[in-house]
Amino acid sequence: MCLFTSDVILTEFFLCFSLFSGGESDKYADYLFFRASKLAYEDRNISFWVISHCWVHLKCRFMTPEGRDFLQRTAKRFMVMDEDVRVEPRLRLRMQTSLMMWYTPIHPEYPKQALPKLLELTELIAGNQKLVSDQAAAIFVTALCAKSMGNMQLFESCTDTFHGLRCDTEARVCDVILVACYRYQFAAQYSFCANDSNGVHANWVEVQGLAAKYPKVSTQNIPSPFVRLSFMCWLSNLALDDNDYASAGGHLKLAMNPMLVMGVFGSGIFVSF
Amino acid sequence: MHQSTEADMFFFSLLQSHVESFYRAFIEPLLALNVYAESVGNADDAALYSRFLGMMRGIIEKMQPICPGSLNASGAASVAVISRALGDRDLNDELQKLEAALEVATKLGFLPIDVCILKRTIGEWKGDSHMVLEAATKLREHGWIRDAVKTEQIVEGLLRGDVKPGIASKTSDATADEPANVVELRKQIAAARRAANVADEAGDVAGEDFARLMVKKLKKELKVLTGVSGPSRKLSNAKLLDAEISGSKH
Repeated sequence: MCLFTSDVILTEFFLCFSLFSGGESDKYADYLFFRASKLAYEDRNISFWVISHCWVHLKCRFMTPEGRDFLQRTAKRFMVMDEDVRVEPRLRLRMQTSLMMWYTPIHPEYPKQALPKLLELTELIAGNQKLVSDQAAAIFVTALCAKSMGNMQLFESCTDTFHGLRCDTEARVCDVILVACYRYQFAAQYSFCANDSNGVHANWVEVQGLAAKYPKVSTQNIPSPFVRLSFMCWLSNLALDDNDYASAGGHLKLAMNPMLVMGVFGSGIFVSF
Repeated sequence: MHQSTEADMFFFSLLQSHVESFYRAFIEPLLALNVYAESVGNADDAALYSRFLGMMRGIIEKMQPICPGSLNASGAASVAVISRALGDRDLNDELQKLEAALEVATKLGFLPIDVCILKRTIGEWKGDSHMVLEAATKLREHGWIRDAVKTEQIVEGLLRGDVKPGIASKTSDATADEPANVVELRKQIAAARRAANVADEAGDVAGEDFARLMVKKLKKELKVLTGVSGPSRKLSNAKLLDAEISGSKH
């Protein structure tokens, strides 16, 4: 019964986060988060505890001193739990991916230390189609770290692996679209770095084709705001290479929405979606 | 909110602390288009691009203490180039910040690309082609071909004399051989721009509009005094360039 209660609370907690509108819903989300954590602790349910804490950064907690203390404590617990055999590989990978997200602003050197561990865990769940979204997230952060550390061979290898990822036939459509979007965004990112304009254009065509492929899904978020913003920036840069100022301006103006720019680059510090 | 947006939020903090290229991919076309809009006399577009440049600078500066790492390294380079484009800050201060950022990024040792970007910017500003070449070589070694190519173009420009060192060009162009009232007017324009950006960052729409109106008014006065404005001088160059490009295409 208790497990059922924590399950319900966890669901509500995610729903509440998804509102993300500030004010009262933030307080409610906080209440549900701590209640879910407490119930998971009382149940001795490690999985629930891990899942709830993997999303601690969503309220941009790393932006306040109290939030940063809380995240540091959570990170230490994650590092201890990473050695615990009761925690299944899927959750260990999720912990590592999550740490890369919200522990990096506190300790920017963390990705360099954690990269071998992340690669090892990704390898452990490779091939399991039920866990493609976890694998995709892990490959994404691995590749971003490889890119920023100047390891383009690893970045290229991640791009290839990402390209081979296929979702389970029972997977939710939104997950399938998400993985597809990031697959193309990722390939375009590599092409942009390698100065291959054809690659960027080809991947943008693929992303645009997704809406037609899934007609029942709202086109508002295909591609997602971040993926759209990235493509518009790259296409604008490429148009400027050809001195095509009209196209460059046209692409960039699609990305020049103050809410989107502040939400993406300012991490929702000023506004939230 | 949809699943995709949740996932986007998931990646942001890492992008800000570790992967700076997303910021530059947005800032670089803004800078280029801002110059172009000014050169063809499109004041509305130029104001729009300037506004977004100011917004990006505000975001980076606000995020720097929260997300140390990349934003404190190459983020400083982005802030500096935006300040140079907007012309509302002392560039010598910006150069000092860049040098401090380079020292820190080199010591940290986990952001080699950021070090290259900082070296490129500092080298370009100081006219030090060796420093820029060093950055280009490193970028090529790391496989960042696009940035390597762009950096090599800067080296060539510096060696040929096409690219003028940033600090020198900004300070000498503005004040050399000009009467005192024109220099004073230029200072007032810079101050009004600064006020507009401050108002923009503070979310004061009325204040920002007022400051931008002041900029327009002062620019008109400057045009009367000097006889020809900067953008229209650039316009003739841009028209020549357009004619050359269209001529070469046909």
